[in-house]
Amino acid sequence: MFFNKKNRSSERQIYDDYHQHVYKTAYFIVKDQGMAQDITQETFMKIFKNMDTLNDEKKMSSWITTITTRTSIDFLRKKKKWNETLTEDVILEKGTKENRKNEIETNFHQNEIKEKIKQQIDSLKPEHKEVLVLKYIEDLKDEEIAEVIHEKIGTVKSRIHRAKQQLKASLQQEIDTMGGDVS
Amino acid sequence: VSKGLDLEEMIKKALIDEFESAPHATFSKERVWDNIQKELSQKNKNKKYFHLITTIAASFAVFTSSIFYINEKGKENKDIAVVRTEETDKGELKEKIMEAEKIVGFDFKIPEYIPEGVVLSEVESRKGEIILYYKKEKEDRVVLKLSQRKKSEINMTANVTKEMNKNEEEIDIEISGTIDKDEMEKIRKTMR
Repeated sequence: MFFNKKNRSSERQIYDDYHQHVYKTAYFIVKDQGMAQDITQETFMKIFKNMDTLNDEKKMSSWITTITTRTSIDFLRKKKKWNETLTEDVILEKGTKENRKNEIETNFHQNEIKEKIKQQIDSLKPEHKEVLVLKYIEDLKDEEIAEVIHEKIGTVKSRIHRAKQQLKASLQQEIDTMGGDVS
Repeated sequence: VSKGLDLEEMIKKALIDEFESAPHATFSKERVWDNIQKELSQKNKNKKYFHLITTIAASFAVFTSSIFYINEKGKENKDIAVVRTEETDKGELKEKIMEAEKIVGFDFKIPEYIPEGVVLSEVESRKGEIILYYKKEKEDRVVLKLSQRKKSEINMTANVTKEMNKNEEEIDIEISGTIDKDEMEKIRKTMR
């Protein structure tokens, strides 16, 4: 055991090191500042409560991220936030379509496509966001993601694939208009 | 934008951008820390109470089980049925014997032969055991006792004329009393 559960100073150290990361991860999933704050609090309580179950310090970051994403998903489920988010996305997408002409003319730069991706990221399912965070923010391999979220490797691959497909599909139209292609 | 955009790379960049662009937390870091500490200490307190309550509940369960066990034991003793045959007519006696059979849980035997002047006076039955008491007519003194037990050992007691040792169908039969040994043997032989 690399730290003692009852050691308040180690708890404080972890809180100082990770509170921003936890908040950002929660916000990434729920897109609500108030809820992200509640999730941050809840996540740290889970972390401190289960600290003695973590035996490998190297895995701490991904462990904390997983607790955060799981807690965020639970919050969304409880508050049915997901449906609201979905509705907002439909509205967002409608607005995007209405402004498409203007955007196509101006979105010639990769940064703008990146912005499009960011918009589309919001419309992904929380479970898909979770695997993307673990893959791209935590830089975990698919096998490692499967291990930390206790899912089969096939499920993880499928979620990553679907998330990418969703992003790709939404971008393809834009890129087609610009004469490009995605790989 | 050229053909063959690296979507993987763009997704990664977009994700990191999106992740990092989270609006600044409106809450105070220290306030959340205090909340966490308060919640944790409250939960620990609750946990202690929970342990205390479960301990009390467990003790109570053990106590009530003991009481229940004692009651059951008592109840078992109450299952002893005593039938005084002189106060019972023949039809009723048959019925009482059938009832006794239910209590003892096995088919006990009744001797076809009983010496003249000796009558069945009492039937005492409990789970796994039945005792038939016989006495001389118009006398209170028991002269014959027929005990039948299921799978139990037979005690030999001195000073009591005893005739027994009949082990059939896992029933131990013990015949004791003050009547003649030969009579006892006759009785034993006619037990059906």
